[in-house]
Amino acid sequence: MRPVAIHPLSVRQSLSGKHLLVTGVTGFLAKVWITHLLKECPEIRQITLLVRDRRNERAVNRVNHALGTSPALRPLRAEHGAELTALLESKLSVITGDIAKPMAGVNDAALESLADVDLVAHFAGTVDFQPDPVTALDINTRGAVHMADLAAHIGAPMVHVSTAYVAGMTSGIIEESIEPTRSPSGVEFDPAEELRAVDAALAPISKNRSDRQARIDTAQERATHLGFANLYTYTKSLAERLLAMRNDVSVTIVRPTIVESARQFPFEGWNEGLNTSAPLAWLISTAFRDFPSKAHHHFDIAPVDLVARGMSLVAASAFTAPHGRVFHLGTSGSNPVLFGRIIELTGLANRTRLRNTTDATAFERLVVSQLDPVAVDANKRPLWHVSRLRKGAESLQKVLRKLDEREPKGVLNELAGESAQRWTRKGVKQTQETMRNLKRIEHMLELFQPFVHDHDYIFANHSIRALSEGLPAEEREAFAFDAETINWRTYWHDIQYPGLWKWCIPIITGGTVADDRPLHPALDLAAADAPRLPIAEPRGAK
Amino acid sequence: MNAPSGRVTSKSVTVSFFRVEGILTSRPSLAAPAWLAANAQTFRQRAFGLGTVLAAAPLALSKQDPGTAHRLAWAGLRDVSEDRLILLGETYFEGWLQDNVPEAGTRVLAQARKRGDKVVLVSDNVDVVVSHLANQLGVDDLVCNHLEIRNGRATGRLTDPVVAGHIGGSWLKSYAEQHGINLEKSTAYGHSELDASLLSSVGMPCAVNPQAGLRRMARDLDWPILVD
Repeated sequence: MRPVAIHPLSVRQSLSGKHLLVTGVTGFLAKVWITHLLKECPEIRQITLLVRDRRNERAVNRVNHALGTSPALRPLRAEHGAELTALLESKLSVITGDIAKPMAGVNDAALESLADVDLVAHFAGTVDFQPDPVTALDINTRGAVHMADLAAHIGAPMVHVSTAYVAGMTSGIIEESIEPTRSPSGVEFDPAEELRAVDAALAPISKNRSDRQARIDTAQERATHLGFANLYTYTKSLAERLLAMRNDVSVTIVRPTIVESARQFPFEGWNEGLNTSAPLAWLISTAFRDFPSKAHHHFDIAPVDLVARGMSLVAASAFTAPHGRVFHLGTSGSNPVLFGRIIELTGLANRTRLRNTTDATAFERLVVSQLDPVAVDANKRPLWHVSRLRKGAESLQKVLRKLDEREPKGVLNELAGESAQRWTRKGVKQTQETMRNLKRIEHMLELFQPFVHDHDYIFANHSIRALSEGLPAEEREAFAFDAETINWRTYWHDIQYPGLWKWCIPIITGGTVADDRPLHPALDLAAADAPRLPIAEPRGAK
Repeated sequence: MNAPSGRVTSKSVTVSFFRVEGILTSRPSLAAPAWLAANAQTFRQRAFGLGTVLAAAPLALSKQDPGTAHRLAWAGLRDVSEDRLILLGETYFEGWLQDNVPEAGTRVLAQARKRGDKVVLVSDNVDVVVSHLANQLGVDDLVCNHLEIRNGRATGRLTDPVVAGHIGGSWLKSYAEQHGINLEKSTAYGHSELDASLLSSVGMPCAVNPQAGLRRMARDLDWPILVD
């Protein structure tokens, strides 16, 4: 059903002359959103980027590097050429902060420069599924609260970027709403009290690296009780709830689903970093073929440029939106695609890749390409299940070790000479490596299982489509949230999968992804906060 | 096969009909369903698909009932997804058909264009495979089979009417009527005796690299014969 526009909405008019404060600009989505805004909303007055210093790199240098060499700038480079540096320097400025600190670590001098900010867009977060809870609570939960404090101090509305998977361990149609005190498992709780409780539970555990797992287990126990599969969704959900309960700032919550390769902007197939589907796509590209998933469950993938459009619509509407509105930026609500189809398309795309690449081995061309992946019930553990393979490798290693250690040492030598012993030792090493890889894969599948197997999510997206319907005709091409126009076959086979292989999978396989050449003249953004804060201990904020 | 729609009264269009199999490709009719079956997603689907193609082969070779042979061969692709058919159809085209048109086929195609004829391909194959060849050759129309798709998967049925040799007769008259084609002035290129009906329905039949049955018929009826 086509949603009805409640109000006409011109993104360009709404954002014209506005000053935005944005966090998380070194991340994938924020980078695309900002470059999209600069291209499509040239009347924006100013975008201030709140970034933290790293131990060896000032915030402003981080931004200069991250933006100045980012492929996200390609459309702007094409449009502005050598003038681009000047344009960016006139529109963008950097402020040093640390969202894990009160008032996002912004000093008084910098606060003054933020007095005329019209909108705060908070993207920063750690997206690791199983992070250290101390860091995740600092960044994902308290970071959002600190940004809301800052927005309240400035008197600007805030758009908070969360995740659709705060829905937790549940299935069915997920509505665009929030009940701050009711958890996905149905437990009534106070989010502020929960934050205090989890802090208290973590306090006795040392901050040492060796106790990381103890911290994760402690926090995960609480998360599971409330209905969250991992600490990422738990900490993001706590943030949403704490923001929704405030009455001193107007907050709009945006929940993207799985943000993936661009359809068009900045260009077809662009992706960045290690996202959700890259490890899964890589896994399917190996000889691994039984993928634990339910073929009829929905897989909600949203191209990054679609999400960026959604963000622009939400930002443009945030000035007049009531507090606590929630938007799902996903596709399953209007153009669903199922896991079974995606798994099959991944196998088909891998065949195409192996046919067209010169890097493929004969084994990959002749065998792997013929092993099409299939969705299998994780509970049935088929013959090729990764745990069975690992056990098989373990058994093989035991046999090889026994052969190698058999006394007298000369048995093998006598039977087959020294080379046999060399081969046995090589085999032991090889099986060790295989076992390590299989263990990593097993761990990865465990992390993903709640989302790709156990639960079936359909994220309603009426709200963003209603905003999109209100766009004037001349803005539809740039800002329409047109999820329904995605052809999943061409997107997955021709855009997403090749995009993953070019921009993401090299990171998994130990390769490199080249940046674009730096802007010339070099980007030298102004730091809005002249007297700098002492540099904070590095944290995981993106 | 394309369904007639709308009528054109003037019969001024001259067409060259080309049987694809044997003239524009040397691959046998059942090669495509066999290849697609061998590349199905699961081993069970592969075994089933190849089994039906094997069962269809004697029927196809005997040329007694090509329609049943084709229905049977393509039935093996039951439950194969539309995505797979489309993507692997393209792969099959790239691997076996693209840039692989026999010389005689290229020659007669060029002649047809020189005459100013519209070019229509007639194929036993399904659209997901042969439409790429039609695009590559830049023809005006393609008459071929279509697998029925429901909920994104093939049902294993070919939609009626099935193209499987013996094309001509009432279907061709209806097609000519619909497109304003003057069959008397049109040409048809055939390869096997199954094309006899098509060839005898036009004013200018031609046997290209003909199989024995069609060669005999062409000699008897004084049809031109072209060989590589």
